[in-house]
Amino acid sequence: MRFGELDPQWLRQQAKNGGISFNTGPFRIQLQTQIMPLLELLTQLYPASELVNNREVADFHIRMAQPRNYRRLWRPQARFYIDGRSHFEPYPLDHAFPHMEWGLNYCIATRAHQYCMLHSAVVARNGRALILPAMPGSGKSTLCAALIHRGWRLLSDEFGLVQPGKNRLTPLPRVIPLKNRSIDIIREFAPEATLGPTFPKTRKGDVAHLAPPVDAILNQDQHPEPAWVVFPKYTPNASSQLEPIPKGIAFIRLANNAFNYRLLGETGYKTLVSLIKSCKCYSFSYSDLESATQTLNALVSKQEVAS
Amino acid sequence: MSHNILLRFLKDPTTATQFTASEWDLLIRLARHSKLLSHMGFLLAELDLKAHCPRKALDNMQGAKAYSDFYQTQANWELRQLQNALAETKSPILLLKGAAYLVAQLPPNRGRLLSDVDILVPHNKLTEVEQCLNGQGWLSETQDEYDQRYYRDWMHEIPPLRHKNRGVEVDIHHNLLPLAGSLQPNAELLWQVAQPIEKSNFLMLCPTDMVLHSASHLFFSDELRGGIRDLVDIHQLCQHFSQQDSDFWDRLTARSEEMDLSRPLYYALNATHQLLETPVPMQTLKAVNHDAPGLIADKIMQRLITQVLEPHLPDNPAANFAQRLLYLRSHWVRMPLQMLLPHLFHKAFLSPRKKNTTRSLETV
Repeated sequence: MRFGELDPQWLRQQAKNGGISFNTGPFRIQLQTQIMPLLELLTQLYPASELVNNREVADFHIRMAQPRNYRRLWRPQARFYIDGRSHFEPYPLDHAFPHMEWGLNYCIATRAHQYCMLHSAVVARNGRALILPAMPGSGKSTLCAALIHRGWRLLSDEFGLVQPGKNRLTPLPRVIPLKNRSIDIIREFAPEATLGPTFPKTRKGDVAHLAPPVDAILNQDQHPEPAWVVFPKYTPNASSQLEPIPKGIAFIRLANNAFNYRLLGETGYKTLVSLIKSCKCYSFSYSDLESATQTLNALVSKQEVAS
Repeated sequence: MSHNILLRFLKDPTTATQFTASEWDLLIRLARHSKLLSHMGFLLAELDLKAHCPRKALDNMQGAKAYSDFYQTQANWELRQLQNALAETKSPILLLKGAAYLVAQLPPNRGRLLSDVDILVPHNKLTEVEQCLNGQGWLSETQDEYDQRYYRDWMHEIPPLRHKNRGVEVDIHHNLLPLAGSLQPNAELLWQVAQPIEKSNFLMLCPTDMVLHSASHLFFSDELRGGIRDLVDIHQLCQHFSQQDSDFWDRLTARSEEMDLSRPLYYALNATHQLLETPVPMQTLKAVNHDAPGLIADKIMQRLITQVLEPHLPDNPAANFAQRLLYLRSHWVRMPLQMLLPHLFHKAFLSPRKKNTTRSLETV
């Protein structure tokens, strides 16, 4: 059964007691919580996620709970626990959802070393993946949000997961946190998009979460081949410009930006070499999203003409 | 008999083929918290049992292996740097614990997470070694005068060093247990029978001393902080050495008396026999029983030890309480009361609350 089809009352009971398990990309999460607004938002933003058996191996056992202290009487907080341990400072209770998403990202980045983890957004079309590495000021989340409303399938907004030895991208479709001005830009660009409430004044300013499209969740077992690495750079008033860059440069920029390239050592090197070899690499400056998506869409048609 | 799933696995990894999915779920979590997840993968691979493991379990062990591989590469590199840096001192360098298992490729090394390297140098070389390292970029972690004195006057090691460009902590020891403590092994005796490590210029303790060190470290210097992982070290070292040398057990008990370490050996052999079913001969167990503490102290210790060493998740209140009591005990055995009380007073009220700024790679 998918979140959207479940009786909310029943789901709440489950979440409170034994916890609920669901898959997000290759990972299985077991979540226990009594914070009902959190659960509500989770089911609203992930309606297509499937509830799975609790009695299987889960990758992450998460509990979102209110710390037991006097503070909760006047300023209630939510805290993220993994395996019963809390590594982060608590957040205000009404920011439980962004706290959980962020905590989960942290857990993935520090644990899932069975993958080479690029810090990138990844989208795909016709079984080919486009990798958009996160660089400061790249506007990667906004661009990714735009692309998935112009024909691309969302793999992930944050993690390019590559299994060593297999030159494929593993999807991890989760919500896309849009920040500050991007929230309204995407609302206008894709009025059909599902956005959660705006959380004011988080560490990264105002944040609203864009739900992953249903097809992204339904196809999270389809692993496309890498085809393009595009380093985006948001440049005010610039027209969309896609410039090929040497593979060597792309390699170094991608490696430096990965979560665990150094940790994986030789494995990481080999993984990225075969990835870069199979990709065309570009730097991309843009400002207008409509024109940006058109330029990137043209990559696909070019490839089709070539083959 | 214990029903703890990780203990069941460690006693006999072939039982893993019969585990249910939810048992695997708990096993993975316990192993991760006990720093044995990567090690588990090695045990399963050696017995060719990976085909029987759930896919998710394999994924998690693979992730843990990448992590421990990284730490081992780093530790190896650090050791090479230390060797080069210390060449001019002509001091022998003896590797302790994880560093020795790593270079000598002993069984506990499989999948082991090493965040620091421990070495032993002769006491008369200590100052020279320290100055030599200071001159080449290894700096003390703490500048606090009290901490510095604490280490130098009372401990068996100098304040931890870390190279300014790297993350690995280097602990330089001149003995196995704190100077101020109740047990005083003679470091001279260690050096007399130290063994060279093949294909390296390092030394390691001889087999009996290696087990005694592991035992005294676990039971007499930390609050059993290494937990079940450290007991698995003892378990595997004993198995390994007793297979190589049929007189190992007799040598071990004899050496423990010579080294004044029979009490920690008593705790270690009892715990590993009880929790991991290490095949310790009856006569060895009987022999070390002479060194048990008084009846009441023994009962209390056994109980605390089992509670802490039995693998548990971080939020287990009984284990955490037992850990706290053992923490108090660890101070007690580390220094006499007339030193302990001023020390605790200083730590509680006088030490500035400075936090370490350098942090190595973290995991959750």
